[in-house]
Amino acid sequence: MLVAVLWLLLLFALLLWWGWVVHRQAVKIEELQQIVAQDTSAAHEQWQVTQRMLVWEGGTLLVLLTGLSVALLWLYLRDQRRTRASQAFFASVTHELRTPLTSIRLQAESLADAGSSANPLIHRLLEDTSRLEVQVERTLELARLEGGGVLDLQPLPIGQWLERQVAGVKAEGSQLNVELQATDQRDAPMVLADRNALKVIVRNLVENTLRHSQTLPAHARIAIESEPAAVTVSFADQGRGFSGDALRLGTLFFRGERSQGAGVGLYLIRTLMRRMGGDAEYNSRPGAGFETRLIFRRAEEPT
Amino acid sequence: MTGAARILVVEDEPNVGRTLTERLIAEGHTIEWARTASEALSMSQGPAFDLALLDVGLPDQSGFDLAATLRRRHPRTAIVFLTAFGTPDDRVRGLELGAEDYIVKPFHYKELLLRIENALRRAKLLANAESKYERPLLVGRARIDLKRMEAAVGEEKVSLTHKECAVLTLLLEKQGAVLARDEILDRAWAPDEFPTPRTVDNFIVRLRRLIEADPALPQVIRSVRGVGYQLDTAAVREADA
Repeated sequence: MLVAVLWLLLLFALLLWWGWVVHRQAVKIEELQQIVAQDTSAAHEQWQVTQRMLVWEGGTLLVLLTGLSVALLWLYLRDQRRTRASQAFFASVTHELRTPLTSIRLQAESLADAGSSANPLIHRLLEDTSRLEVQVERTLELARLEGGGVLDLQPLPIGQWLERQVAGVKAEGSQLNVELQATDQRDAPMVLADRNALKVIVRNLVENTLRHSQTLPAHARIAIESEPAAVTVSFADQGRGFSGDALRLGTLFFRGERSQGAGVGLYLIRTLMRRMGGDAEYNSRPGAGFETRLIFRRAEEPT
Repeated sequence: MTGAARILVVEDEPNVGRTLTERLIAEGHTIEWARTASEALSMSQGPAFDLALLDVGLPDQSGFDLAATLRRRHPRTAIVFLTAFGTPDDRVRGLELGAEDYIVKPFHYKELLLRIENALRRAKLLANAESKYERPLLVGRARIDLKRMEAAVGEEKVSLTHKECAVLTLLLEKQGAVLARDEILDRAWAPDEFPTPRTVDNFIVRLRRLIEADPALPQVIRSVRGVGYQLDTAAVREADA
């Protein structure tokens, strides 16, 4: 920012200087016209002096402008390199968390399966592991997308896939009760989606619902609306809703007044949906819950 | 449950490796745990494992390179990657190496178990079906050796994945008849992979590139509109040994 302001000030100063030089030359030309009328040789000498001055001052201006532009470009590239390096470092540290997280989950699940599932401490350990996993996935996916990462779009039977995710949430013993609106599997719509991106989206929605619910267990309802060109999945919770500027929801680092998040989840959901050729819309009123509408592109059926 | 299997676990992180080994032994499997690629290669010199569970970020070699060596050594060993590298490019690379599955850390143990069972079930089905095709066959322009899980077009040889072998075996078993996409899906894919009829279409395109003289005008695997595919009987014959 400081560099940009300095650049503008310098540019302005150079333009003022150039304007002054041009004005001075105009005065000189006027004087020359008067001298020509009296003495031709004196006018020629004066004209050469003026030409030399124009070359030197114009050249100086060009050199200064070029130098400043190169400096600005160098500063910009250095800034870009630093940003990329810090993103790569952050992503690498986050990536390194995956292995210890795997170990923690594996040990906790082993304890639960060994008969300690009734122990609330194990349950809390698994819950916190899940929350940490969501944070890690969120950070890595964001770094990947900002770095130009691509998605792998494949046709997906969204109804069946959601059924499996809901069953997974139940099997984990989550504090979230999800009701999936019954769909006729014969008419199950096929959408274009990247399965892993979709998993990140669902895990973020589950995490948001649990975080903003007024009571536990929390409740959410998923409905699928099938239209000729698109398929919309609505994920609605019964939490405390959102009281700020709803239009800013989904902006990077934008947080609600009482939100404990970093303002990344909704941005990531919308970015992923747009990369899949769809979109995400957010609707909320204070006390009336929060609804996320995921709009998917329909996949073509084979002939 | 597909029964007890012999599984090679390659994992350098001690807590993950130890817990996985203990839990899979408790499921009735026989486990050998290698902490490095070289340890895994030395363990694989004996009889073939039914399944190899491979980490990618190993200290001495990439798990992808290890998978390629294991595939050459024991083509019938089902390979499942279990790794922290989860980008689409990593997955594609793993699956192109012929892996049965690609699981990203952290994972749920029950899901891992289900996917191991699926991989073992498919490998078993394939082994049963392939016993009918001990000798190499000429299918279209390619020489297919299902026993060695490889195909050759001229001098160029390529390894076939378990899925490719499963689809080819099914087409060979029912040559001349029209196979529905669903039938192909049931044989080669597990329900939790969410395969679609389009998945079969993409897969057939890959097979056609291998066996058809002109994949744009397929004569060996013909499309039957609205139903599925048909393997032309006249395009299949026994190859010289």
